[in-house]
Amino acid sequence: MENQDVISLMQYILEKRGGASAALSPEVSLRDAGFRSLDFSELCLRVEEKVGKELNFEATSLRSIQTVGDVCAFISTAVK
Amino acid sequence: MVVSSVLQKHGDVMTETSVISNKASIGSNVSIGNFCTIYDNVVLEDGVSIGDFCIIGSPTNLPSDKKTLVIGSGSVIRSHSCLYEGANLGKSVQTGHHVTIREQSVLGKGVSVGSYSAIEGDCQIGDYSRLHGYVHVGKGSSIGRFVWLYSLVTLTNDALPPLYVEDPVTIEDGVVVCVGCTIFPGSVLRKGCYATAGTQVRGEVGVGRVVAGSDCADVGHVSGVMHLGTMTRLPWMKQLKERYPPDVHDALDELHSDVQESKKNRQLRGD
Repeated sequence: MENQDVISLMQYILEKRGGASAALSPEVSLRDAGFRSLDFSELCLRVEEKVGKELNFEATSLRSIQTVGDVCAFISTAVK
Repeated sequence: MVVSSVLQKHGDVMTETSVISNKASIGSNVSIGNFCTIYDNVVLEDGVSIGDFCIIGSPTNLPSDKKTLVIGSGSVIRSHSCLYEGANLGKSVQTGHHVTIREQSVLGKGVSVGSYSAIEGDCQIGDYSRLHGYVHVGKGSSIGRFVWLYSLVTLTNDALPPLYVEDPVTIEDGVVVCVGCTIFPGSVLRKGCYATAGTQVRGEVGVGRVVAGSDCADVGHVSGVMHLGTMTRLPWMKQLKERYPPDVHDALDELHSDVQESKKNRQLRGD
């Protein structure tokens, strides 16, 4: 799954809950974007639906997710 | 003060500051604080500790065969609490300060009730459930095992106040209700579901689902909820298992499996 697809899904989730701000880019922090842990939960389910399999949360070596880019990195590892 | 049952044989025991009915049954190593009243129909099992200013076995108009208040062994009732006759507390129950537990409520083993909480009558609370401070549990509520109710959670029970159309709440095992939630009459929270802070919970929340907001929107499954700063992740049962006694570890494992299994039932907000 491409990073841009993940960012589009993030944007969609934010818009749907009325929290969309400026366009998201990898360096934007999740705090600034207003992207919360519950949004992350929804993102994971949407990605799983899209790729047709469960994400492997244990696959990632990330210790923290702070930015949009971190989310993309997490998803790209977890989707393998 | 430690009251030995020998003291009970010669009438009500009046300590310097507390009154203890001679009809109360007091186990060994029971400790009773100052300015307490222990009424008739009270059974304090071994090792119970009652803090100052407590009223234990407050009278009701229950029939005589339902009047007994039992406080299980090793329980701790902290100061200014009021427990009505006809309630039943399992072993090792803990209350905070200023807790009210009304008649015919049954609390399982290891239940913890935070300060200023009130449990109205006819409630059931399963083993090892934890209620934080300022929780209000409406009459007739049914709460399973291993449930977490955080501060300022209110379980309502009247579908049309003040006409008292009784419709209590049901909460199944392993549910987490975060701070400030209101649970509306007749709501059913299925196993392991999760109400985020301030949710106005209504209707049925499915196994393992996460709900949020004033519209109780379904926002996903607990297995996808992660604290992004620490990568700590729900569900909670495996991570906190070691805090519970070994004899309930299998039950927690089973609960964890049931919640994970429920992930297949997907339904996302707005879809």
